[in-house]
Amino acid sequence: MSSNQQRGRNALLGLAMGDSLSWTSMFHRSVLLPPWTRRIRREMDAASESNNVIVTPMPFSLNQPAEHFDLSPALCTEWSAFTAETLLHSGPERFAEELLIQWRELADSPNPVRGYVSTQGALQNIRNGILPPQSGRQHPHYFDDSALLRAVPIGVYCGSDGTLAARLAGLDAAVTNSEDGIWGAQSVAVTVGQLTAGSTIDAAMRQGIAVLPEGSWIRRSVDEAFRITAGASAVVPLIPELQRKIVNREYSYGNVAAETLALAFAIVKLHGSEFNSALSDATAFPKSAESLPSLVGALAGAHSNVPVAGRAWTDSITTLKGIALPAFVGKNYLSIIEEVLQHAENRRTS
Amino acid sequence: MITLQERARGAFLGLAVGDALGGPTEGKTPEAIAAQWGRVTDFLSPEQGGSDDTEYALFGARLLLEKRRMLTSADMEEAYRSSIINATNAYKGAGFSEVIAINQLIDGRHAPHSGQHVHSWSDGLAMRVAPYGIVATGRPGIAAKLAAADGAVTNAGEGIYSGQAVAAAVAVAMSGGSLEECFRTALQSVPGDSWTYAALERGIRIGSASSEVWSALPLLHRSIACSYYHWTDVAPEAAGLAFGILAASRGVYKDAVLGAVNIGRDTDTIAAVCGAVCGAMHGSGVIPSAWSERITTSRGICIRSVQGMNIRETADRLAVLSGEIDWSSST
Repeated sequence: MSSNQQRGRNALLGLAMGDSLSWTSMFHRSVLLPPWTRRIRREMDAASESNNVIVTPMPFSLNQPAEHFDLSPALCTEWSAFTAETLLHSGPERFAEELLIQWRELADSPNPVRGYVSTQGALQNIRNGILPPQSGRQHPHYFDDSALLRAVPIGVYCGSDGTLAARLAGLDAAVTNSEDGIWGAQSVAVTVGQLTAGSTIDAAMRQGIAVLPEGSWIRRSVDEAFRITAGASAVVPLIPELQRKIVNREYSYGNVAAETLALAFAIVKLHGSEFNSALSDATAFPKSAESLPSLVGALAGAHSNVPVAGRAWTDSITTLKGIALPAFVGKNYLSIIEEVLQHAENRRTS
Repeated sequence: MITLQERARGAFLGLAVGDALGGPTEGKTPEAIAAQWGRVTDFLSPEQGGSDDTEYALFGARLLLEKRRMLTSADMEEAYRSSIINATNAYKGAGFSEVIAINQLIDGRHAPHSGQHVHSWSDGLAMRVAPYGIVATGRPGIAAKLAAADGAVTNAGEGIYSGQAVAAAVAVAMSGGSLEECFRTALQSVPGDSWTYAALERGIRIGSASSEVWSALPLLHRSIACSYYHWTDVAPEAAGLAFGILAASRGVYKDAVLGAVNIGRDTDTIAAVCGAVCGAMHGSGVIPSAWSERITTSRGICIRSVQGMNIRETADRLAVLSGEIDWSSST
């Protein structure tokens, strides 16, 4: 096995590990249980207004299968697997057409898929005949980070071919996002690809940042994060400042591409060579939890030459649960990883 | 013959009445509105007044009356800093776009960066641009430019485009243009590949094909509203619904604002936009006097510094100003 393959595998394993660790994934897992369990939790939450018990009601299984709450991948990994399978099925040349076929199928699926504001907006658009790239533009969350994690398998697939990585990630992201949401995805694909090909973190990020237009919101956010990390040697001392300057306080969602990418780059720049530290630090930004641990896991994984997931972890992340994509229940994520790696290796050696 | 003053009053009072009338149904679904009230056809309480839509419009109007020239984003940013940020109730009644932009200004950012954020597409600009249409009577390009200068402080992209479209439509209506001319000009003032363009075009198409306003509402809502999204202040959505209602009501003031009040989502802003265009087109006489009598001076709830501004007097002064500014260097 080449070191490129090792790093590619680590990127996709790291993504699923971060996704599993995210505190929001715990809530996502509860969709596997009957609706009454979530209703009771919401009622408990509402009652805190009157009984002043403000400790947060957590997802619970009561007399339902408790194993649904075991550590496992959720939203980010399933959507990444979706893009990975789409690309594996079509190859780069037919990727745009295949995306349309797959997304139309999701839009018409009798089992509704779950996801982000951007994915649900795009699906409604597609149902109304509004196709990419307008499907990613005509909804309020063009800027969210849903496409950033879908870009990870694209980066692994394309390896050092940054032009192809940016093009394919652009096509994939345009289904659900626009502008900053697309640029962020392209940046992730390019950076992951360069890292799996053996670039240093600094060199890979330079290429990844070059994709972000000068003066754009996402570029300014990444620049700001790097100003904060300049000269530092650890993330923890910088958390208050990163949190204050990069993460929005005003809005009801934290999964904003400009914020997630900036924090991920900052963490990986400081700790990218230490996968475990990077992953723990990524869980220290509560409002950014939806995607940040997954993205940091992917980037730090892509830089790691030694296996990042031991037996306990591979056991946890092998099987997808169908949390976001009901049709993915029971799918073997490790097999999807190996297939992506095989294609990447074929491209690299041909 | 409708005088310029009647049109200016029609635009501003039309906006303020729509804003006030739409308050109770704001943020609700059409189903929830129907379940609670059946069809809303009048004010629901004696104290029902205007909100941020009217006050931010007054804020822009006052700046125009002070500067008496094309505004720049720097002018508007300075007005935010001196009159809103330094005030005690800086955020009261404001939406995400104003609040986040204000916080970005406090953090030392400037336009246009202050307007790039998670609510850059908000209808906070579209709701307040009627004064630009009044002062740029018959000059939709100038009206759109004023809207863009204002909007760059708090909004970006679609939020600015929707403001440009509404300002341009009011400018055309102010000079006696037809509804079709308003629509055509509004579409011309935004990029053809924007969400705003698509939503306006869709709204106008659906509304025009409908014989009256009430039957158009469900289809407009289904085709344009982002029902999967909690927040309703989405500018392309509000502008698309407003223009669809304008088309379906054929520009009849009462039909348009009542359609807007009952369609759900950001009803006060949708009604304010409909009211401003119809009022500019037909003059203040089309607003039922029982409604317009409720609108006098601003209470300054959202922006303390506009408290006490008289809406008719402000409209009158904008109408006079429109004949006095030389726009030749601004085109």
